[in-house]
Amino acid sequence: MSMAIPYTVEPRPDTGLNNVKIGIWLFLASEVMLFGGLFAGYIILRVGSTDWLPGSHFGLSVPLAFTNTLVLITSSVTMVMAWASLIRKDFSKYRLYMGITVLCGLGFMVIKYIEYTSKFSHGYYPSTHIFLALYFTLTGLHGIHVIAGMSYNAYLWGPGAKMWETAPEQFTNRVEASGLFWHFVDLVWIFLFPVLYLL
Amino acid sequence: MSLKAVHIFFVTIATAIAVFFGVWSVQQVLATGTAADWVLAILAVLMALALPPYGVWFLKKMKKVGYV
Repeated sequence: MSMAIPYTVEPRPDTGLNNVKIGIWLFLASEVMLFGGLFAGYIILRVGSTDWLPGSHFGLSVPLAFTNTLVLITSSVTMVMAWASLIRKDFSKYRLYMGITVLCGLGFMVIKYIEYTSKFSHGYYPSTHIFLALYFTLTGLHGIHVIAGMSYNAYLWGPGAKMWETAPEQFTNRVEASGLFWHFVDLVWIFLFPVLYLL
Repeated sequence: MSLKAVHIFFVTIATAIAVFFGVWSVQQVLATGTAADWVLAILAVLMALALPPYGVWFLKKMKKVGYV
């Protein structure tokens, strides 16, 4: 006897939403609190610091950061196109767009690796200065989120895509939930870019 | 809130950051005027100009999908 998990596709009568969407939004709420706390910490430490130095002092590269911003914005567009392709029942387009999304995530991490190794080679570590402590904490945590989102997207592009044959609506919901997480990760970067590199 | 609604919000915020970065880049151009600053300023302005029409196109394309 098989037991199906309820409300993975159809909405719950009491919430009006399926459980996938409720679950991902509860998770994203906790993520907002996590990053919100860190951004608040940044403001307090920056305002209270007597020897604050901007990112340019430590050689943070604005062109590299802007490239990463473009990469993530592109990935958000391809992510939503992947989801839209599934709604239109066009699986080959889904594969294409999701593949580009994963590659964009990979590209972001490669650029981040270049930035990190450049800082380390100049002897800049989190313990060097309060700005670098904030920079490595915020971008490090964000990078972990990018890796997590990229990994799950790669799963949905590869082995996880088998679900399309057996439960297409449930699979489409999974892609939407992953897209919501990916957009959150991209939004965090959109805030990190000016805060760490421009201001 | 659906991915459609979040994407529209994302495009709005991305446009705002493009405008902000465009202003920042133009200030850099006026201050130093290096080739890299020019490239960044042009890219930022292009991004700020491209995102709103994309958002409108996206809304038209996803007309049948709800916001919840």
